Formats: sequence, C-alpha cells, structure tokens
Amino acid sequence: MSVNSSQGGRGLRIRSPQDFAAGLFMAGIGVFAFVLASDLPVGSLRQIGPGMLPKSFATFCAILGVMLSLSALYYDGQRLEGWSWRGVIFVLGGALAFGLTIRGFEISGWIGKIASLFLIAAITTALVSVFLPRENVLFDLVGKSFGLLAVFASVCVLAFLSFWSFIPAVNVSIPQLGLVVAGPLVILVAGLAADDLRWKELLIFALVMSTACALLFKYALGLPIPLAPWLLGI
Amino acid sequence: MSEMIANLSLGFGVALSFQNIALCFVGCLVGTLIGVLPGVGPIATIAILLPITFGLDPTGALIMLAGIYYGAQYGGSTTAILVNIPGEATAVVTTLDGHQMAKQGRAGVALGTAALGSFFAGCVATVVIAALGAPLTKLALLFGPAEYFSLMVMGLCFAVVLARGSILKAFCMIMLGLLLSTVGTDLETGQERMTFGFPPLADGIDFAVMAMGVFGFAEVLRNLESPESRDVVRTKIGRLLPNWADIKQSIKPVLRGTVIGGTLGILPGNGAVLGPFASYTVEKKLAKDPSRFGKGAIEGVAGPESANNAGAQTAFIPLLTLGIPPNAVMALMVGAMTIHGIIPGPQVMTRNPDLFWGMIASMWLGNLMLLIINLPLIGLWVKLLQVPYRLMFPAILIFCCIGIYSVNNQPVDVAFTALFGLFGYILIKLGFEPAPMLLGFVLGRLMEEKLRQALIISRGSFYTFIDYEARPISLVLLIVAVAVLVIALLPSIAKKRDEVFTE
Repeated sequence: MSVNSSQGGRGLRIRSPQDFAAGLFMAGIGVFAFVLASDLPVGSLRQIGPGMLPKSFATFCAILGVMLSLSALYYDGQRLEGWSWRGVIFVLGGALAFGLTIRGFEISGWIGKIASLFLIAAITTALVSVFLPRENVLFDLVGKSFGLLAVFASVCVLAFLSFWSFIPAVNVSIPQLGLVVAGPLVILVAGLAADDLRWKELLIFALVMSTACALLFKYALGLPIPLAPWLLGI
Repeated sequence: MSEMIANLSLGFGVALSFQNIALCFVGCLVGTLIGVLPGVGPIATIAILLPITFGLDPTGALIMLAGIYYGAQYGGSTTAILVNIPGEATAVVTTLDGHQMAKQGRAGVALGTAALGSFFAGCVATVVIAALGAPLTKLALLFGPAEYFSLMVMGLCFAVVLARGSILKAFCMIMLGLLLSTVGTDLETGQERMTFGFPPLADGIDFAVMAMGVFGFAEVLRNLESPESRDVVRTKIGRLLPNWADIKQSIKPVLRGTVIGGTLGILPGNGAVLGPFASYTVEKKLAKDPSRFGKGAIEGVAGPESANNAGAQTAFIPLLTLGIPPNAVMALMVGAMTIHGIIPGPQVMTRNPDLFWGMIASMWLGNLMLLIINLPLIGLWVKLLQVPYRLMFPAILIFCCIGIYSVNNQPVDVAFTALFGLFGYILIKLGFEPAPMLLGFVLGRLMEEKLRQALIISRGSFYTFIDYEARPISLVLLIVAVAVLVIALLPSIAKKRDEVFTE
C-alpha cells in the first residue's frame, strides 16, 4: 500500500496521504500523553483531580486523529511533501548554538541524559536511512522524511520508557562566551541554510547584525545579556 | 456619555505624555518594519518584538505593544499591495485588487487609500471600545465560572469554524493546544503533570517559547523552502493621496467596511478574520460593474482594509472586558500582559484605570502615527522588500534568540524554542494551521480553572452549564456554539466556506 503514488482500483486506498499521516501523528500524541498522564488521579466530577483534563484531552486528540486518518480514505487530499533537512538542521542548530554559548552551559544530569538520548536516536536514524532499502513498508506508507522522523521518535520514546535509567549522561561544560560569540554564531550557522549562500556577505552581515543587536538590546533597552564576560568582563 | 468622555480624557492624559507618545511611535515604526517583511505576519512580528518591551513599565509596554500590533497589520497590507504576499489571512483580500492597482502604477493611491480607510476605521473602533468597555465590564461581573467556561467553549467553536483549511484539522489543533496547556504543575494539588520530571517543565510550557518556536522558527523553515518569487512592483509608486474621484468612490466602502469589520471583530473566536472577506463580497455585490473587481478596483482595497483595521481593534474588546482572547494575536497579547504582571480581565479597568484608558487612547494615537509614518516612508519599505531572504532570516533568528533568552534569562528556553520550531514545522508539513493551537493553549488553563470552580459550586453536576433558570447566559452561549458547528458542517455551507478561504 503506497501513500504518495496512490494506486488506482477498487477497495480502500489512502486518498489523502497528508491527512492520513496527520491523523497518525495526532493519535500518537494522544496515546503518548495518555501514557504520561496514566498515574495521575482522575478524581470525581465533584472534585476534579489533576488527571481528568489531561486524560480527556489526550483521548479527544487520539479520537480526532483516528477520525482524520479514516477520512483520508474517503476524500482526496494533498500528498506528503519531503522535508528540507538543510533548513531544519542549520536554522535550529544555529538557535541551539546560541542557547549553548550565550551564558555557558553545563550539560550533565537529566539534560545530559536527554542529549545522549537524542544522540542515540539520531545515530539510529542515520543508520536506518543509510542501510534501509529505498523500497520498504515504512517509507512507502508515510514517505522518507516522515518515516525517518517516526524512527527517531520511536527510538526516543522506547529508550525513555524502557532503559532511561541506564542511559549514560553526556558531561560537557561550555564556557560563558556571551553575545560576542553567540550572535555571529547563530547568524553564520543559520545562514548555511540558504540555497544562495554568499560567504563574504554573510560574514559581514553577522558582524554588523551582532553589533547592532548588542547596542540595541544591551545598551538601548538595558536587557541583562552577557556580552563577553571572558574578554571584557561584561 | 459624560463618563466615557471623562474616561477618555484620563486616557489621553496618560497616552499623551512625552514618553508614551515616543513609545507608541517607536512601536508603530518597528512593527511596520518587521511586519513589512514578506512571510512575517502579525503573530510572528509581536513574538519577535516582545523582548524590546521588557524594560518598560506596564502601561508603556502595552502602549508600545499595541503600536507594534497596528504597525504589523499595516505592514502586512503594504506587503500585500506591493509584493502580492499576504502576511496573514486577513490581508489575502487586499492582494486581489491592491496588487493590481500597484501593477497599473497606482500603488501609491492603493497604499494611501488603505492608510486613510484604516485610520477612519481605527478612530471609529476606538470610540466603540471606549463606549462598550465600561458596560461590558459590568456584564462580566454577572459571569460566574460556568458562564466563563461556556463562553470559552463558544470562542473555541468559532475559532474552529473560522480557521483556514479543514474543520477536523482545526479541531485537532485546538485539542492539541488544550492538551499542551495541561503540562506542568497542577494548580490545586501541586502534582506534576506530564513533565517527565524535568524541572524547567514544572511551570508548564512557556507561552513565549511556544509562540516563537511555532511562529518564528517554523515560519522561517517554511519560507526557506518555497523558492523565492517576489513580485516586487517595479513601476512607480505614484502619488500617495487619492484624488477627489477616488475618495468619492471609496467613502461608502470605508463606512460599510468599518461597520462590518467592527461588528465581526467583537465576536469571540477570530471573527475579525471574516471582516475583509465579508466586506469584499458586499462591495462586489453592490458595485454597478462587478467585473472591475480583481482588476484594480479601489473599493476592493478601501472596504476590506477598513474592515481589517476595525476588526483588529474591536478584537481587543473581549480581551479587555472579559479577559478572553478571541484569536491567536490576542492570545499573544495575553502572554505579553502576563509577562508584565497584568492579568487581562474586568478587574484591569477598575484596578488600573490609567493603564486601561491609556491603552485605549493610545489606539487612536497609534492609528494617527501609522498615517504619519507610512505615507512618507513607503519608499523605505519598498527598499526593505528588496532585501534578499538569505539575509532576512538570520536577522529574524538572532532577534528571536535574544528575545527568548531575555524572557527568563534561561539558555534552556532557546533549546526548547528550537524544539518547538521543529514541532511547528512538522505541523506545517502535515497541513495543520498552528494558529488555533495557540488560542487553545492560552485558554486551556483558564478553562480548567473555571470548569473546576463551576463543578465545585454545582456539586459535580454538568447540568449547571445548561440550567436555563439559574444560568440562561451559559445555556445561550452553548447553544450558539453548537449551532455554529452544526451550520459549518452542513454540506452547502461547508462548500461556501471552502470557497471563501481559497479565494
């Protein structure tokens, strides 16, 4: 059963791949949230407990998701588009780099565990994308981009639910570099996402923009943003 | 009446201080500056500019935020006319005739008419807010928890019906927003809900983090993908002020647009989005020669633009009087107000009359500013529109990063925002429209609180919501909610709805 190249003929087939995947996504979130909220007491109508609303919303999400997936069997709709991984990696990576360097960051404890969880999932996903044959049930069903996303998400969830306590925590400490480093860093990394990248222009823009932001946010607006504690002491 | 004048004069007393005039001016200016960028709608603009208000006192911050909001709205219209890219749903209609006018060398007249029409609509809407503010606030006192809950249910139903795309998907987004709002510590029992035991989630998902992730980062990702096809008008802008014939043609559309937009804007649940569509349809129906529409008819700019601005402003009424945001932009305003320590609702008017009336007076001031700023600066906006996206998005990004860091001075927030950016991108790829999620997220906590209170009062009986003797208002609100949903699901109406939103 292929989603994007809908085969003709009789019987049930997915007419709207996008809605079908969207429904699965919603249902997945609903089930996941319900599992997370499972130990919360529901209480009674007279005295609503902490679990009542999360569980009902999760149930509604799951039901709506199933309805959406079912409706995809009856109405024609849009195909699933591929992703631009370049944008995702560089834009979000740039933001991440900013967060890590602006005030320094101690990756240890639970953050370290999440970091290694994501690392494990990313490595697994990369291995899957390299070694899985191009023609397989998963990619046929929801396309390559969402297939890989599904692999990533399920590794995360499985690892979290089954052997979370065994995951070793990453232990890295990033010094407090301040806006002087973080500003150009986010612009340079994010700038790599553009198709029509021009190095020189981006470099000049990064310096100008960071200076402007430092003047605007630090001095004109007086926000407590570290500029360069290691160099200037501010 | 005299009370209203007294209130307004109090408001102008606050708004006309040198500092507040300057803040309003700067707000309008930077709001337009960011709002003019193609693909950056009002939600993203406010999210990006939120941090620049952090250092101010609450009154000044709100005045500036309101200025940013109007600036973003007007900037969106400018982009719609000059580049044919609507920043948000309400600017779609403006592209139809506005961009045609621009292509015929009448861009200046289109922009001028839009500015003048918006100014007129803004003046009327300000008076309407001032007039309705006090009585509606008194009405709010009649509202118990049950009524509030029903009102929010109705608002969410409207939001579902008025969202773009499929109703089922809009429903999903609202539910997801509600679900996300329950993450964090339960207010009554103190139990942690769905936090994975991670300390930063104990206070719940930060509103600013979610808004910036889904509307800042994810929008950037979406725009990066679509190959750049910017149809910036190359012809002359032409004279800005409409001549006598233009004015005569547009005066009635402006009046009708103001009434339509203003009325629809008061509705809970994003009624404002309907204003421009309704106004365009009315003008086309009333025109002697409907075939001119879509080919640069000035009525097609004047009416919808007035309706847009009137609705954008009257949407403040449910927020300021009842404390319930009617759409995603107002949900963002709730978040902004909360950051400054103000909980929107009927008590704002009695407790901080300076702030309340000052903000309303600043609305009029903001509209005047827009007129003063925009007409001479159109040349600058055109220049800005020619900046390539490869430079624009890193700039947007560094603003978002600094902004999100400044909310709590927490680097972790930036990482969370990136995660929400990914989440928003997935939603976009799956064909969801994330705006209703934001609304559901903001209303979620309030709904839970009111539901609990209502059920405690009624001793666990759901009958309290439909008790026509004790709580007629609640019953009526719920009936309206159900009726709206049923009507929208009727096959003939559903088809019409699709047409309206794809036009």
